[in-house]
Amino acid sequence: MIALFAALLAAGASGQSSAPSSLERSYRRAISLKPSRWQPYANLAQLLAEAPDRWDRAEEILALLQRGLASVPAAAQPALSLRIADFERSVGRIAQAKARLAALQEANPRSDVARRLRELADGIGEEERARAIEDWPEPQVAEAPRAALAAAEARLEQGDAREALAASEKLCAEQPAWRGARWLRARALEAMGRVDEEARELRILTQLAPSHAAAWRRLGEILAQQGGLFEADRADEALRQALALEPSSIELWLLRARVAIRQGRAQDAQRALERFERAGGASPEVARLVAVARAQAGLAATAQEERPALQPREPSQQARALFQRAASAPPEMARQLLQEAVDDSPGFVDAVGALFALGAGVPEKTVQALDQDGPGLLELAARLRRAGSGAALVAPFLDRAVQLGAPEALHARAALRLEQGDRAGALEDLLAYAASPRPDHLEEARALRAQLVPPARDDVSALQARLRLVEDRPEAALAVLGGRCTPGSPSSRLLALGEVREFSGQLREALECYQLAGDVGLPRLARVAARSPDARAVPELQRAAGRGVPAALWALARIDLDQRKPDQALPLVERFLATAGPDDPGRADARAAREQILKTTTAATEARLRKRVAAALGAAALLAALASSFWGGATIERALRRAPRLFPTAARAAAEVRHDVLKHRASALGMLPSCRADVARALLSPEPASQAVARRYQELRKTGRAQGVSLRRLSREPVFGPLVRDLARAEDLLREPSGSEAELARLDERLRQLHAARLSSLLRLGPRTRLDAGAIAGWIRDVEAEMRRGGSSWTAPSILLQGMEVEFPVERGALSTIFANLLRNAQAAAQGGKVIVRLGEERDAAGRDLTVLLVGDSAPGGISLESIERRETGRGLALVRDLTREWQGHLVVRSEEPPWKKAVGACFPAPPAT
Amino acid sequence: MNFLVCEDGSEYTERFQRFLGGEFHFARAGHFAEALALAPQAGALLLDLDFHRTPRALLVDESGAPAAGCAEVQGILLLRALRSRGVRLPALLFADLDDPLRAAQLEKELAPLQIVSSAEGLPQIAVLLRRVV
Repeated sequence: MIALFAALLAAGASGQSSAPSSLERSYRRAISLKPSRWQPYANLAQLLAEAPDRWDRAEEILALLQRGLASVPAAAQPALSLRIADFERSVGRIAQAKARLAALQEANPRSDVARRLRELADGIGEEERARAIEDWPEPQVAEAPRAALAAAEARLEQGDAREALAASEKLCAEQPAWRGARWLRARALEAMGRVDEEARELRILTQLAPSHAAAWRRLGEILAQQGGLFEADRADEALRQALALEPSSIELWLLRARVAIRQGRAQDAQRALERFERAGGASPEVARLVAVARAQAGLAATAQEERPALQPREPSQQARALFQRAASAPPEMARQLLQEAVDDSPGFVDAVGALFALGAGVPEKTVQALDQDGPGLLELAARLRRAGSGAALVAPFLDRAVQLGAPEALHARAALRLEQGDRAGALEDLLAYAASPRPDHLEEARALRAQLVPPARDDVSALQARLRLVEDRPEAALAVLGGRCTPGSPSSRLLALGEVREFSGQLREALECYQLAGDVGLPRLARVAARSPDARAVPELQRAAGRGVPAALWALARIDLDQRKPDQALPLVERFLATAGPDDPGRADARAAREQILKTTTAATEARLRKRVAAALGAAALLAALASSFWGGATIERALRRAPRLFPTAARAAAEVRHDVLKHRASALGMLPSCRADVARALLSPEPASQAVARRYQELRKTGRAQGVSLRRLSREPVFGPLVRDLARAEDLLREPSGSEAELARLDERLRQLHAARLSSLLRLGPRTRLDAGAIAGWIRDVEAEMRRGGSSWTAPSILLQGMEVEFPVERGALSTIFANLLRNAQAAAQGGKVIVRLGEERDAAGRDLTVLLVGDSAPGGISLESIERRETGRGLALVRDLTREWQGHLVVRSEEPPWKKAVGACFPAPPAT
Repeated sequence: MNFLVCEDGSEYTERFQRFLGGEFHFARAGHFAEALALAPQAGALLLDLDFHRTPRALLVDESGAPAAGCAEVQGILLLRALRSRGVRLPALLFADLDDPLRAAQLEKELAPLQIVSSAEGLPQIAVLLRRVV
């Protein structure tokens, strides 16, 4: 007993000064001296729940605690159980901890134990929420696909987005949860201007990797810039996630302000703008947005998504009646009635489930009836499980549902596989589920994941802090992390604290945290110091500059400028401009500062510098002008990716050249050697065909310039350039009576095969815009907001969308203008009556597949195509007419079924399948 | 043999006259009404696809009724309208259709019809015309 007291006293005394290991030794000694005392176990559990090496020793510690639980008196067991549960929590064994707490709860614990039990359960719940934002595990990827990914990345780098996309799609199909492939696919889609698909890809990527700041950021930008009101919530969520992960992306505050304005949240917009300025941001747009936010103050968004009700699986009337009678019949009778109901409607899963509960098997007819019905099989499996069936019975149904691609089948099968002990299979299903476009039960899937994947050993408080930031509660994030940055804290915690301070716009405090964090904090420190120079951080900035962090150079330069030492600042500015990335936020200010320094420095330095810089700049500018003249500009294909609006002009040029030159003029070459004079005339008059093509290309180049795109010189353009050269060569040969006929024959073949194919391929480069119900609803909200602001009447339109989405061969902005004008026109005509929006596909009498966008109304008066044709260009339906024609579509006016009267719309040839 | 060339300009007719005029006769129709009137004197039809230069009031749908919005596939609609009026002459349609299935379907529906790519040279077209004769 004396020895035990001594051991406990030693433990208590050493609590103030000793390292945890000596404390632990004391507790262990106390346990070995008297294993039936519960406190040493409890103290040990509490001590080790904080120990950094607890993860590696968890098995041994839990075994000891479990032995303790068996050794201590029954009265002490609840209290010790609580400590053990807390230890389990600390090593990520959440399911075990929860099971232990549930068992304790069952035993009606004393009030003090019950209170601690609740506290611990709350803590575990909070931790679960935080762990839910951990990334899903990355799948094992073999060397060959890794190499393929690297090659595709290089393709994208070189501007070949199409190839990169094809490669990434193959890789995504092989490994749906591989985020590297998905990130590449998203960027390739971006390079091709296919933002709808890009957003879908980014959503999947952020499901798989909630810590992917760049993906959140890009998703937020797309949704904020391209999406309507309908997407605004998701845009804000994505931007909040991006800012919580990377608070230096301060320009996202501006986007958040814009989104808030769109949603009518004027105060939130003003708050976001304040944050932007507090974080060191400056933009002329702030003043404009503040004015808009003020003007909009008081308006509230009322948009509510209307979800179509799901249709229940319907058995026949008779089967339903039998089922209802069975509910109140005695078992034998009920069985008979249910059997009849199932015979009548084999897919009636309620009846099959009830029959199973009464001891029958699953009828073969039911299995056959549901063989092609994934959701039906899922429902059947769920009913059978509720009726007490084993996992093995329903497994084939779930396999089939997965095969059929039923949306939630992977999730259901993962749970089943876990139950059957197939942990690898369960994880594989969960990963595929997390990589699916719209998983409804992602939260539950994450809970299952926690049972399969050992949790990351990271400090969970960092995840909890991130959650608080996403909720816009930096003060709560600080509380989670312990509030202050103190010397000796782990650098990961100091970094996290610094990020929270940065998020709050407390740049000085952020700087202090990063200073304390040591070398790992240098890049962040440099970025903050570049926005808010602080001379106290000079030693760290010099270290960061030595390690090649460009922002440190700019920060040091700003400090020198503040201290009126422009001569010292200039080389730093120059080095910064030479090394910083093209999108570094400090670039614009640094360039301005360099200009300023050059203006204000001493006369001699100024003269010397000016001479040197002017000479260098002059030479560089001359070289750049020469290079740009000879080598600058984009191919048509590339220009179309950058400016899809150029497509109608480019398509017209290609079609005209194909029709006028290849078909009607150059095709005469085939008639050689006879009628040489006629062939020569066909190619050379009224002007040489090569000149006609060159002229057409120059016109296209001019239109491109007007739209901000510089096309290559004709000689370097890969479609028109070689065509003009071949035509010119043929013309030269025809001008000479002895021009080689063999060469002319070769040119004829090149013109008919190679050049015709190249021109045709240009016609397939048009942009595509996919519209689904969400996109249409967003556009409708935009028109509604605008019409209501203008005091016009508004009636919520019905939407009739054929299939899940319709793809239009029209640039998104042009299509939204067409749609907005059609809708405004119908709203104005309906005057509070009914309006309908229809999107779909159809085939016309020429056998073409068309995509159709129609807006109908219930106004009695008619409208004719001729009357629209006669309207002056500019707005309303005349604008619809002109834009539709520009994008190679045509207007339609149709009568509508009551209660609507007529519809006006646009048809476009469906884009060729890719 | 007389070929009736249906086109919105006159490029086909002139080209055929110049290079193949020694062997065949060509007449031109600029829209459906003309084509319907000249069909009885023709032995075969040669059709362009796109009729953008034809006045919109003269464009027709597949039944021959006025329809202003169908210039880009007018050649097919014009032939359909002729077929619906009992004109069974063999026809060549000069068109670059992306979808071979669609081309085959049209050739079947509007038979006797052959769709000819714009990349075909005049000698190949002459072969086709001789085959029709």
